[in-house]
Amino acid sequence: MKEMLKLNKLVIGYASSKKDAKALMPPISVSMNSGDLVALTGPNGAGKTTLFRALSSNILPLGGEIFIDQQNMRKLHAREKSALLSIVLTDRIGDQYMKVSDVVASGRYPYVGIWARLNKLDRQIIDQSLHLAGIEALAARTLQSLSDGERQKVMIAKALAQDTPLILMDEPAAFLDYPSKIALIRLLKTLSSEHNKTILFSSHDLDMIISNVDKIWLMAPQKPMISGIPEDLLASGKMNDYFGIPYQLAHTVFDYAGLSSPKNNSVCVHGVGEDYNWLRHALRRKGYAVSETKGDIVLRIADGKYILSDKQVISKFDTLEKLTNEIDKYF
Amino acid sequence: MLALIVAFACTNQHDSKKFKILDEANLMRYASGVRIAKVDQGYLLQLKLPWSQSVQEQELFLLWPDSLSVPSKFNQLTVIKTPVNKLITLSSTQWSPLLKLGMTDRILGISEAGYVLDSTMRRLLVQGKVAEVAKNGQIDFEKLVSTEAELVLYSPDPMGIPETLKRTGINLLPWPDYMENSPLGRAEWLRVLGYLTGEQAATDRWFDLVAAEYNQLKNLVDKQSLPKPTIIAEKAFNGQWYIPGGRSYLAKIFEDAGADYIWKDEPSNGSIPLDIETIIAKGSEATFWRISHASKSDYSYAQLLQENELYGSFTAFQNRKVILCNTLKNGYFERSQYEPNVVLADFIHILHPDLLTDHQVVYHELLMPDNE
Amino acid sequence: MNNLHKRVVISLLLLLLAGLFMLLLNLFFGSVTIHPKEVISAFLGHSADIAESRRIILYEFRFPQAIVAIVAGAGLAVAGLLMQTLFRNPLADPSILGISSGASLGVALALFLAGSFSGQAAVNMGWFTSIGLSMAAFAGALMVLFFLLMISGRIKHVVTLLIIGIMIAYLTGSLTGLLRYYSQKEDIQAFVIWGMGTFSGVGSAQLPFFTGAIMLGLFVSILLSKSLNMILLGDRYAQNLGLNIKFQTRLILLLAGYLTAIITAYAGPIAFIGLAVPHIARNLFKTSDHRILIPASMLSGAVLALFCNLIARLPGLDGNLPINSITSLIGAPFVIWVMLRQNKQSILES
Repeated sequence: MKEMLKLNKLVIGYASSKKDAKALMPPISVSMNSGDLVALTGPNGAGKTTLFRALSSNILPLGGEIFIDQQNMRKLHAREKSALLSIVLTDRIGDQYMKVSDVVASGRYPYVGIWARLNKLDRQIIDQSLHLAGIEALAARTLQSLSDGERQKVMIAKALAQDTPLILMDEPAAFLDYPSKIALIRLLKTLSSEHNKTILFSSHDLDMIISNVDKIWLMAPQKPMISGIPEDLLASGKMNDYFGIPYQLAHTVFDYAGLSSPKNNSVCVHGVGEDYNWLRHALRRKGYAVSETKGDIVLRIADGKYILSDKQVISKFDTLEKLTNEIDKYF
Repeated sequence: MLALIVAFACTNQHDSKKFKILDEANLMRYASGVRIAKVDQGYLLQLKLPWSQSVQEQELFLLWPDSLSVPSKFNQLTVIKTPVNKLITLSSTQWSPLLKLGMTDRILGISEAGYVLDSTMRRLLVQGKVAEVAKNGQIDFEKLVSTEAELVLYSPDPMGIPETLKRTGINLLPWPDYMENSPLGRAEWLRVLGYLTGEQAATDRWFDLVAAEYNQLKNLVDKQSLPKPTIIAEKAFNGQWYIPGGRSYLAKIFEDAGADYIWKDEPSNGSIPLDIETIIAKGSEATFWRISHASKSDYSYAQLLQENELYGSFTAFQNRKVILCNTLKNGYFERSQYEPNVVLADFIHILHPDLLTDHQVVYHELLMPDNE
Repeated sequence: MNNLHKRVVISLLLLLLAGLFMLLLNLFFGSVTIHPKEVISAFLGHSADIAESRRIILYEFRFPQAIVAIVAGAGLAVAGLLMQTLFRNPLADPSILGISSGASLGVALALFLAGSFSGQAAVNMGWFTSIGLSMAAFAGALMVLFFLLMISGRIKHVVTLLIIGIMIAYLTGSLTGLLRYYSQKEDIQAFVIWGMGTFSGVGSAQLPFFTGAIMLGLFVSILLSKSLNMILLGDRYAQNLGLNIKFQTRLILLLAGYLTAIITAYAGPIAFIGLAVPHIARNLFKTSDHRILIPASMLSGAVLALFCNLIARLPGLDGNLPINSITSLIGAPFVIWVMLRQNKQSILES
């Protein structure tokens, strides 16, 4: 597993002057691997936007380093950064004449000359990006004539055309209705799992992210940022702690979990209670079939530890993240 | 005759063009902005603009007979071939004496035809003998060039002049006659026209008469040690009241006419913007009040009061001692410059009713009380 | 894709043709009637055949004036486009940052100072010739421009810059008003005439310099096409695409200011072309791509300026009408029409 984004003791905040710098939270040290789909969440004012601005070099961090694909961002030129990281924002952009194809083509700007002339490869990549985002049919339309969901896809296609390993998305679901949200999360999952894109996006939509992302980066004002798989954060009560209110997965609203491509392997889980619910949720999210009676492996919870037993061995894990990583190795 | 023109000792060649007309050689008597001296078969004309510290090349002109070739020692000078037969006169003070001297056919172009009052000039314009080459302050260069004039007389003006005028390829002569503050100095510019057109005998005769009469009137007032009535001038326009400076043309006329101009000690020779309260504080009690007004119809005290109610508090207004110059009726701008004697006589007649009792006013009149 | 390209090229060529046609009309018509045959033979080198006065009218007046109209029209249009893109505001134009009003202040200041030192109206002082006014205008424009460049480094958001620019425009405008209040009548008249704008202030001698200076600016603007396209996406996207926003912002400001300052210095504050032409260009070509918009704005600006210059000098209209009134008189209804048309379209689309 390749480490794609690594934050090393990163301090973010605002500095009105050099002496008077105000850090929003303790230094952040987290990382994500190539192909990960990670959601950044937390209550308003936690500093998500600030972190995004720091990651996209829009503001300077107050301290620490950002590594993308092992390269220190402080040492790279804007042009070099543009090949590592692309961004998708919710800002409405462009005038009434800007076309979808113009916007997506702009993703190639870091790679083309001063006249912005596109070669065959550029065109191919643009076509692919339009295809991946599912908006080939919109290419000739103006941005203004599109719905919010379509615009979002255009910006994603632009990011894809930019051909960067890492994509940052600021609140991509913010203005979308439910069907558009489903389409969006499906697209993000496809991009991360099948096209090896590493995607970090911010969102408030806990239902959506808990059932779909590989990891959550959880933030709250003046609290250290923590990283973990959704079920760990929920089972351990961190999520409640950071948001300040108890969270319950609202299955009735929409079952996002059905979006994962199912695997053929099944896992047997005995037991009832909140912790077991989250264990099952984590497995389903990963695409495993969960059975009460039979399975290739058997899982249970005892003394706050997750116990995995198969025909030969029994192993114990502190967190669901470690457990699911181990299960992934099995199949 | 001694050399009346001194060529500066030329240590370097570039200085050789620095001619200077000495006082003894100057043929002009009152004008301060222009000097003329005889040089060989021609005349040297120097425009000594009040603001310029040094003699500059562009201010020196050689008037040289068309029939003769110009000696090489004058190579550096701008040469105007005389007599000038095709003139463009951008100011009415330039063409009006030419008309009076019967040189109508020498005027090819003028400016602002809409403001011309002189009937001869209006006829010439209608007949197409004179072209209107400037309108609303903007020169129509195409028309100007197409007249194929020899010389353009222009008032130094900011827009496009003289850079744009130079491009016409026509000789240019700045004509800062309005810079003269003395009435006779301003009138004497008609003599410059005489030298240009080769009619200096006629212009000299004309000017001598004017100067003699002016001085005579002035002496008349001086001798009589009369009480000097106080006077103010002009009125507010768009909230600004521009008063003539103490060294201006009008201030000089007031002085010569035996009036006590309230702002006679203002050092300016132009006009000074003052707000109306300052004017009231200092000048509302003046005996006379001279205003100029451009209107085809008659003007009245009622109209004056309508313009600004504060005028009603002026002593001159209350006593009906407002002196009016209606420039649209009397041709003040076109002709008065060459009749300072008449302007002076008008003022003496109005300010001192005992003097010049049978003088018929031309440019200024005491505004009669309205018929109620 | 290729079809699109072809259409763009054909449209640009049509504009160019319109420009050439307008140029010919500008050479053919003026307050003095010169037969087109004579005009053509004069420019084909048979100048011996025509009268000297007509040669001067053509070479020294009509031709330079038409060229100045072309160059100033193109320059102002591009300066307007740069401003509208930089601020992502369709109402921005070269005058919005106070650069033109800085030029006006320069002229007013020069006239006033000279006037108050000598007690004379400055216009009576000879040295306030058109070149003197040009220099004063240029100095005033540069003053504002450098101030803007200076503060642009400390400003996070272009909107702040826009607001500060508008404040500067008000500030210089009111200073100009104050100066006018204390000025001599003759100087106010000179200032008013300067404010009317003219394409006739440049003769054949200064023409190469003026044309060269503007051409240089236009050339640089073409090199900025890609950056401008990125800026249209917003600062953050542009930055993410590898653009050095601060540097480019300053470069664009400098370029727009440079074009405006030179043109204002020579032709006076010519309104409207900078505001209107970019809209016309966008509407004609239905694009936001600056690789097309810049040449399109140049050509449209030149055509509009030539057209206005022609109208201002139409023989029946008696001399030179103030170019500044003509540009707005013709431009404003056109832009209103364009906007209404657009509105109708977008209603149909939605």
